Amino acid sequence: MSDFLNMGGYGPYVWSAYGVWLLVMVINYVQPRWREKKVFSELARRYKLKQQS
Amino acid sequence: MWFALLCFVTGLYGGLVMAPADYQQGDSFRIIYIHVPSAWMSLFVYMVIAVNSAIVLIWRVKISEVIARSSAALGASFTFLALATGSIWGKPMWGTWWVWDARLTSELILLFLYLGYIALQSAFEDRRVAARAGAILALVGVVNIPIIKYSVEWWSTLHQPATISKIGTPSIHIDMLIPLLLMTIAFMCYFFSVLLVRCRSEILEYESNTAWVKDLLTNKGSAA
Amino acid sequence: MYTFFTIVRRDLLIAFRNRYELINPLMFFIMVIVLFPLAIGSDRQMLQPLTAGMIWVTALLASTLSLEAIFRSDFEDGSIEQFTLANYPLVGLVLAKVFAHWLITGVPLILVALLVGGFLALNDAALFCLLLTLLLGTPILSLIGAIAVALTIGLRGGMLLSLLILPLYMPVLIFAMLAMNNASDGLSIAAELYFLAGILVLALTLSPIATAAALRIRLS
Repeated sequence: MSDFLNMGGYGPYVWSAYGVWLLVMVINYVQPRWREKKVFSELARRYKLKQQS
Repeated sequence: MWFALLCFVTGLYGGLVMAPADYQQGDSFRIIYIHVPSAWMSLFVYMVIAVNSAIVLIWRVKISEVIARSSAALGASFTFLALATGSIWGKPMWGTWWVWDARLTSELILLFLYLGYIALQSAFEDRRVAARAGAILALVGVVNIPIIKYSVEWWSTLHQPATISKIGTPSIHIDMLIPLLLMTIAFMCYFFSVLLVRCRSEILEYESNTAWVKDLLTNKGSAA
Repeated sequence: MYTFFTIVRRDLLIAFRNRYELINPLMFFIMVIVLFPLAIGSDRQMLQPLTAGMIWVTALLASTLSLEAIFRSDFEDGSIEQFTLANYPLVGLVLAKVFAHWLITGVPLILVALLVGGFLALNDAALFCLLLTLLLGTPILSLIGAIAVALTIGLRGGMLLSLLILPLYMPVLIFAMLAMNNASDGLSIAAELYFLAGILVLALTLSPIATAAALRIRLS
């Protein structure tokens, strides 16, 4: 197992590269969904305001 | 999305555990499994944007506008990943974080083009005008793509030339090749599934004045 | 043909009306060049290899600064709209305005750059190379810059223009610097000059089309 983590001496490089990759992938997964919720609530709010006026 | 995850897991397992260590580079070559697909995706997404831009300019199809706009951030992410993972890979291999050779520089220019494209589209209030302006920028910048692709052939660069081509047998061992292909498929699935989510919210904003959106909002509102 | 030169004459007249504005890009150029020795230290050994690069980058920036002027005031007072209604193709207007811009900014820039190059003790081969690369390069800058200008006229945030232009300028800069390096080493610069000439022809034929399309989009 520690061999696996060590990656023949290149451990920090390989894992930091994979770490950056994972981070970007997760951000790109989460952000659109979060944005969709925001768009929804923003449009709903605007619609309600228009209805009231 | 689940298919993408499956491919990711298999690809990663194949790449990280099963593939034999490269005789020259040791285990660090495993970065290839995220570096190469990222780079391919960065080029692929730009072509997606370019083709959709052409459609927007010639036929003014709204969906194309949405797709182009939504792909941009993903394309920029992939380009960033390609550059970052490549840089991290380069440090132990070449001894340096960065070198100004043709392929790296043209990929960096691609990143700037993506960022400029996103900035340009954000600068316009009216989304349709924004889409068409961005379309022109995208098409002007498409010149960069063949430069990136052939940069390793035209100039003698530090970055290694392509080992996989459509014709002829690839010069890479099959055990290393399969995880790479798996990862590429995984990246593609990931891209399309995320793209669809982005397009959803984009379409909502585009069509915010129409009846079906209003229905959706009221239904959600009454359910909430 | 006649209309083309009328437009060029008109732009030149407008530019000359405000004579002091013409000097702005040149003053900017000289002052930024002066900044470098101030910042890096006037050690001859350190500055010598950087000279060519400094001149080219500063020329690039100076040219970009004056680029907005090509279309902005005409856009704001509606002349461009009038023009699209006229018989003359919009592409022709674009070419004329870009040509005028090159005459107003590019050519003086080349002359001043040569002067500055002489001051900074570039050798003869390098100076000649500088002349050729700028001669080929400044029109390219004007042409490509026009596309970006047309896309961003009148938008808030002036940085956007530079953000769009610079990635497109980078290949030009790369080739120019390759040529300059070869020249100072005494090697032949033919290959890079061919490349620059090729880019110039490409820009000359395609960029007016893109600029005209961008103008039409902005006008709608």
